[in-house]
Amino acid sequence: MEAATEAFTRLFQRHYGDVERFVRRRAPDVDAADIVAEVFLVAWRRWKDVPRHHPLPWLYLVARNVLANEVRGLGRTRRLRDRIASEPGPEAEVDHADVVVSRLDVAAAFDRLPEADQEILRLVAWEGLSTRDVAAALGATVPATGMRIIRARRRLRAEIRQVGESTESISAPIGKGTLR
Amino acid sequence: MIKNLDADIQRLLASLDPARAPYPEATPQQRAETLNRILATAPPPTPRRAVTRRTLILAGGAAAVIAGAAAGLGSVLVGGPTAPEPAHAATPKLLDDRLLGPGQPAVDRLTQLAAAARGSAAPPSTGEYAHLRTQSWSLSIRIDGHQVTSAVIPEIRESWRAPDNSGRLIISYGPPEFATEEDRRTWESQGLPGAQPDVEVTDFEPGQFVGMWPDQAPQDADELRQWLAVGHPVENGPVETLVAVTDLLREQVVGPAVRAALLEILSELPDIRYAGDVTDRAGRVGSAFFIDSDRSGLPTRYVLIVDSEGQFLSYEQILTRTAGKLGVSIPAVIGYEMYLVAEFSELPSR
Repeated sequence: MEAATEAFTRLFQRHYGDVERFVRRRAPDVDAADIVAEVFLVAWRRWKDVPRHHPLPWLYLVARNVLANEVRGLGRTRRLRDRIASEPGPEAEVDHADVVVSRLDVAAAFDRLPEADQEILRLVAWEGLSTRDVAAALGATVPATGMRIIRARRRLRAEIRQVGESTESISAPIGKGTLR
Repeated sequence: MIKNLDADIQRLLASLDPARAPYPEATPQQRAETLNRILATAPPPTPRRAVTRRTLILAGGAAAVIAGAAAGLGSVLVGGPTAPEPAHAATPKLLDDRLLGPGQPAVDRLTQLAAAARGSAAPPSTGEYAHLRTQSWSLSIRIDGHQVTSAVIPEIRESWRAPDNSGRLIISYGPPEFATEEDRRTWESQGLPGAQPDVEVTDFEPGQFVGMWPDQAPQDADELRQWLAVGHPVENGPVETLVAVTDLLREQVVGPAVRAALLEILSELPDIRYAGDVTDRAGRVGSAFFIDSDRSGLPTRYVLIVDSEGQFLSYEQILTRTAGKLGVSIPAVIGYEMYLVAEFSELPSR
């Protein structure tokens, strides 16, 4: 049991920050500390299920479940665009097709995506997970996840184009020739 | 493709990351309080352990090592690690000096082996479970949560996987191995870390023992090439194909036709070289092929050993020029894997 306590303490210290950021990215208005504590409590109770070599995707899977209950209960989801609008940051970014996209446009496009697509994109863009780790965090197979990433990005680009056209903030089609 | 895709998504969304905004993160004191509260709750249930099986493994090898070491140790065993870490981490011996050489073109030998594989016998089949046993070691391996730097302690992984993705996985550890007597003494003075690790036995319900690929490897080389690329981006270079092959060997029982197609695919890789025939750690003779790559951050030689019937025997990773911050002496074997059993069988009773 001492070995388990020691190993769990190491896991906690190493990944507390990762789980905290994961929670903030999805529910900035809830008390992250409570959620993170709940995630690690689950990990402690289910210690034999925690992958020893690469536990982070497993922790994210638990965090998603804990958050789903919490956020449903509190109704505290908030649109990404609203958050971006209230934060200081660069006004625009240059896209690889030599067009300028505002952060608000990208955020608005993101908000229009189905939640499943949003979550895939968060895991890739913000958690920086590989396809295999995204699959583990979602409890899905690697091949299916690879396809979902491709489709999510395609839909994000399509939404950016639509949002951009409607606000006239994009001076040329986004990702010309690169949409997959 | 996936790698580029990830980069594209990250570039689009990186600046929108809500975690970039200032936020009062938990202080070390708050974290410590949370940790203590969790640890004060009921301890986790003890995992199912195959104690009797471990006893058998110990009887076969480690028991003698442990008994011999313990005889001269007395109370050191109780206190745990007490000695400093060795200057260089223990690593397995290099199989053959030719694995460090420039090698020669590999295409002819691989083509011969592909032909031999095509005419070789199908794997034994007495049931529907894909039964695999591997023995492996890597520099980063952790045993019961500890990295053992004074001994090489191989991991033995045995799995049975049914077509409905049910099955069993048993992870145990072999007896410790030492490159030098000094390593052995260091290990003993540290309190024999990793000498008696737990055996992990996990049973999977249908649908739970999921592999990287949901379907069986295709026999056609062109189809197989595309199939292998799943989760193994070709942008990472030819070594990614080598990695994909080892992932497959760890997951499926590969028959003659697929082995032949794999060898054909390997023969077409740019930069693959033939080092000669070597003997692997299980005493089996095979032809060694290698690719050099620095994809992991350090120049590394990835070696695949194949016997005269096109059976994949072993995979080795060797640092050839620099150890970076890994704390090993160059040249250094930093990982190996042996494919010991690949057959179809029944699930043994527990």
